This record gives sequence, structure tokens and C-alpha cells, in this order.
Amino acid sequence: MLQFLPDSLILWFCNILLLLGLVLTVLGFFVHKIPFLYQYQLPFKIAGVVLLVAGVYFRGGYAVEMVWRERVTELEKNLDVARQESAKVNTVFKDRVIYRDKVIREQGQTLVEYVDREVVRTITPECNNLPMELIEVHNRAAKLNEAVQQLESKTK
Amino acid sequence: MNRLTAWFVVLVSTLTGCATPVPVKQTWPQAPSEIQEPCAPLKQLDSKATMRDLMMTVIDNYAAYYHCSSKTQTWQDWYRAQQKIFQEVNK
Repeated sequence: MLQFLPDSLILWFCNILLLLGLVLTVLGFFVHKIPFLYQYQLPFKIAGVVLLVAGVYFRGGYAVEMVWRERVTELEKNLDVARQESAKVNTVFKDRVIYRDKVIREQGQTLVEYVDREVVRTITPECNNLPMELIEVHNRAAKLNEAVQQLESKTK
Repeated sequence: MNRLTAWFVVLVSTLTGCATPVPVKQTWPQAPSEIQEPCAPLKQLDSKATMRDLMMTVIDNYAAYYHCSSKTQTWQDWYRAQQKIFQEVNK
């Protein structure tokens, strides 16, 4: 609830309570010398002590509240900085992966063009008949992860 | 008077619920979508494949591997960088 009240209002309340408690406590010791008020010595003392204790308690509570607010503000500030840095990092890595993909694609394309331009004409018709074993081994190698996927699907 | 007191108690107890400050929440950032894409499966050869097909498939598969490797490396670097930022906040 304290968060919804202005700081100055809370501070004023605490200070007034503390001051009132102090004044009443001090008055409690001298009130017997004041005419018409001497019979209120005990109520003055009791009220003074109660208000003083409450004032000290609330003043302490206010200080703690302020420390927490300060920490929250600092943390929020740090979080804002972190969010900005995080966004920058995301941009850097996004650009990096896009650039790398582009380079790999270009290099692959260059190699494909080289094969079509230079290598294909050197291939003899006998070479073009690939043995079935070669194709089979190649395809099995390309499917090496299938065993893992099958095991994973069984455990699910 | 009793009813008024009861209302007052209810009102005060509702307000005390607000006394707990809302904690500041630190969320883990979302990774770029480019590195979240799954790796492409490797290509296989047709039974009537020629030498050119073999070379093209090998090139494609190597490219697929390097694309995947690039993404994995970026994931690791991204994680380390974000973790550092995340930890800096609570120092």
C-alpha cells in the first residue's frame, strides 16, 4: 500500500508522529508544573511513549521502504541496459549467421559451376556407371542419424 | 457499528495484499529465428545416379553440414554472450 502513497506524505506522517511522540514524552515530565494540565501527566507520558515508539517504528519502515525502492529502481535500470545489450547481441549473431549462410551458399554454387564447367567433361562413360555398393554406402552414411531417431521415437 | 468495523477490517486486509512489492522479473531473451531453424537432412543418391550426381550430392551435403555447424556455433556463442549479460544484471 505504501507504494501508492507519495514519498513526501509518508515522510511527513512519520516525522510528525516522531515529533509528537517526542514532545508529549518531554511534556510528560514537566506537565505537573503547568496549571490545569498537571492531572494529565500519566496520559501524556503514555501517549508520548506510544507515539514515540510508533514514530521510530514507522521512520525505520520508511527507511527500509526507500532502500527497497532504490534497489528496485537500480535493478530496473540494469535490466533496461541488459535488454538493449541483448538486442544488440541478437542483431550481431543474426547478421553473422546470415552472412555465413550466404558465403557457404556462394562457395557451393562456385563449386557446382566448376564441376559442370571443368570436371564433367573429364568423366568417362564407364565412370558414370556408379557401383550400387557405392550408392548404398553413401546413402547409409547420409542416414546415420536414423538409428538415433528411431531409438528416440521408441522412448517417447 | 459492528458492521462498519467488519467492513473496515476487510478493506484494510485487502490493502495489505498490496504491501508486497511486485518483484522485478528478468526474462531470458528470445534467440534469433535464423538460428532456431532445424538442420536440413542430408541428401541421398538415386540408384541411377551418375558421377555428376554424386559430386553434386556431396557438395550439397557438405554445404548442409556447414550451414548446420554455423548455426550450432552461433547458438553456443549467443548463449555465452546472453548469459554474460544476464549475470551482469545481478552483480
